[in-house]
Amino acid sequence: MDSQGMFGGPFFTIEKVLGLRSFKHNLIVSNIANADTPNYKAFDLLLEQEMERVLRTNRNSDLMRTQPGHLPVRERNSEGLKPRIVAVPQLSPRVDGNTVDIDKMMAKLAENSLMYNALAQILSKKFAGLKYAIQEGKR
Amino acid sequence: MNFLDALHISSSALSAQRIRMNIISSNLANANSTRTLQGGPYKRKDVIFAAHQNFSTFHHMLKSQLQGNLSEVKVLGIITDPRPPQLKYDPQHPDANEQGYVAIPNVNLIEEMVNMISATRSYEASVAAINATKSMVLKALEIGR
Repeated sequence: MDSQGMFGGPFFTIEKVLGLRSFKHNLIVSNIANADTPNYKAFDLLLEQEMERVLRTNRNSDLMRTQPGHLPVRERNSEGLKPRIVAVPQLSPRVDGNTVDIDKMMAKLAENSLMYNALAQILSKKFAGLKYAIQEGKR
Repeated sequence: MNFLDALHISSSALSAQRIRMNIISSNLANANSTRTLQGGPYKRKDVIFAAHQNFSTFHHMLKSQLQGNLSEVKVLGIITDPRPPQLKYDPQHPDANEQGYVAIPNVNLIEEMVNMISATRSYEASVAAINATKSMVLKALEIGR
């Protein structure tokens, strides 16, 4: 998808992260569903760490400042965002070989769906802002 | 669709836990049954859960290769606990043997109660997951309104 134009940039990033959040949600739900299945191994998507890494490596896309007093404007692009699926390390051993920690998974579920809802809200507001600009511009 | 997968997975867990609950109820209800159709005292039952990935069609196979690791819960079967029945001394009982001992089911009430709590909690966890999925879908539908 083109990352330029009216629906590029932040829209593109939000869209991509929304997709990844919903995938992470599926993984967490699968872990919760199999909390009692013997020998099931829990999986997680390393999304936050990957986003941090991408932000760090994409620093060079900052806008150039001509005065030291100017506030930094950072172009946050999501190029190269490739989160990995990893097996969750087992902290408390269980007899049945299952590695799901139900408390952690419920916390992750809540966190992930909150972040998803927040992103959806942001996207919604961005569209509302565009709409406002379009409608008020013709008056 | 992404979110329908989440709902399918959660609902498979709900139905698996419900089957487990039914089995536990059956064990508790028959904790004192000394006669069954098969003869002998009631024997404790248990369910076997397995993580299940659907490979029946090309579509499912492709999806699991692309996303991986998403598995539903499947009830593989219901097994009978091989532990021997407990013997209780009760000479008045019609099912007592020559020494006066009655074979009563190998059901441990405490074990069943613990299993019951575990099944309830797992069921609640899946319900919470379904509610989270639902709120996310509704939020996604609000985009652009």
